[in-house]
Amino acid sequence: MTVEEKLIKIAENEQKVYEAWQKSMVDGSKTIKKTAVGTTTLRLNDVSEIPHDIEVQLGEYVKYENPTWQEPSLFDGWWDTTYPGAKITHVADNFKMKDGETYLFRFKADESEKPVYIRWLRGDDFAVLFASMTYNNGYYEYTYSNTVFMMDVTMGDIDGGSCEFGYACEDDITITEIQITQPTSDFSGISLSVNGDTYTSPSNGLIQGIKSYSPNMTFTADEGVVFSVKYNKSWGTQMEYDRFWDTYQDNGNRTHYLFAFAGYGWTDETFKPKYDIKPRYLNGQYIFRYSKITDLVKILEDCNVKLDLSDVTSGYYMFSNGLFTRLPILDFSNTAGDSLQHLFSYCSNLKSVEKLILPTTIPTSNNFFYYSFTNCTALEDIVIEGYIAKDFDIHWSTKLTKKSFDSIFTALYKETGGTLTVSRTAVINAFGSTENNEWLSYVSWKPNWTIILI
Amino acid sequence: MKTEVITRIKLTASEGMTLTNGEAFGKEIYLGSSDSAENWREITDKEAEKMQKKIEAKISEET
Repeated sequence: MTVEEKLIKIAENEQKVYEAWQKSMVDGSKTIKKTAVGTTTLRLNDVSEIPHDIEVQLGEYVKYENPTWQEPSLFDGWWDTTYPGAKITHVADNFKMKDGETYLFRFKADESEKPVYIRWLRGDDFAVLFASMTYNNGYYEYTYSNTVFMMDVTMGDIDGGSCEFGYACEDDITITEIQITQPTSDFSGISLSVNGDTYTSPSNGLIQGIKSYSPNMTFTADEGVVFSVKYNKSWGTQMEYDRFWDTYQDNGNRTHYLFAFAGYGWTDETFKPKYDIKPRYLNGQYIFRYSKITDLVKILEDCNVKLDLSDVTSGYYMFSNGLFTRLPILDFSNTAGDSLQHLFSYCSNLKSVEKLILPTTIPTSNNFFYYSFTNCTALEDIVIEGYIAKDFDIHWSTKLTKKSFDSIFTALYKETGGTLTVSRTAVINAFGSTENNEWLSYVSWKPNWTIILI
Repeated sequence: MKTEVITRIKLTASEGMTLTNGEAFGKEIYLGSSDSAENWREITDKEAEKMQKKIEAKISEET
């Protein structure tokens, strides 16, 4: 059997394809199926140039759902007399048939066991077929062999003729779906060309192992051959994911993360690290600045990776201006030689920090905590380990819990002293008033420290 | 068991005023043991805001 290359339009519902694509983007394991007839260009628009395993099943039906029916304009009088209640549709205008092939027409109806006649207008010759359909399990069916003279009218263009479908039923039923099936039992020898590569079908019509390196795929078969393309997005998605993150994180060996996840492009959807994030020395600065990531705790858990900051020597602007709501354990135990300036500045959605681990040696810089908590207005829960050994200003946080105050005061390093600046509103919210005994006992606890209420 | 009475000196700014030692600012100050009232003075809230902005700008330059 020879194969000729022609282009025809695919009669698909674009919205359904888009919805299927959207679903597949969320659940990468879904299998996507597209059906076409004859020669067509199918665009698999949710894959990349990564090779994808594709299989094609020949002989599946073409389906037209919810066709729009209208009153026939041709032979009106004759229609009404002979076939009352007639309706026509043009959904299958581009459906072409091959000479000598047999097709099964199935009309899905809302009622059963009615006298339904299929009407079929072919080409330009007004050759019209009327035939009584048989009801079978939810469908009215009619099998047609494309070699028949119909109604004493010679079919001038049998081979390749387009079709207009109609039906007539006195009881006015509604046909909600049209299926056209080529009931060939043996597909042996039928060839399918995919982007120039030729595959020969086995008898069951299932051609497997087709690989695509491009989203623009051309499937070419004989006219009248119906085929269904099935591909699994997740395989390509996983390879795409691996390829990006293996490169971006240097297969887990990356330590230079300066600005690595900074900027608006990093969101909960795009930030899916594959390896532990372990920056070193000064290369932890600015990592997440201006990021749109929100729940970093959840994302790291979902990705089963850790943010290990134990080797960084500076947390300068690390999370500043981010949209974070929750942050995980942050180990800054090695930063005494530099600072945590602007660490969380302008993280105005930040509600909790699982644990902030500070150095247990005295930082060299007096500015160690400068503006670390600027505008952290939503902060409620923070656990601090290590020493607060330099001036500490957290007065923007008016919702600190009592537990957070306890953690802060515990961390105040007795020997050095310094100033602790907190919000007066926060004290009242947590303790009831600034005269509260519990609050005053905290004030008295570290006498070397000047406590400032704003 | 040991019981101690710890005295803390508390400075409270007047209405519309802020206390400052030139670096830190506040409405109520519980002085540390190595701090003293002499280190703190009252300025208007507006002056305090101005000073804070200057300090912030200086730190931004340095860093």
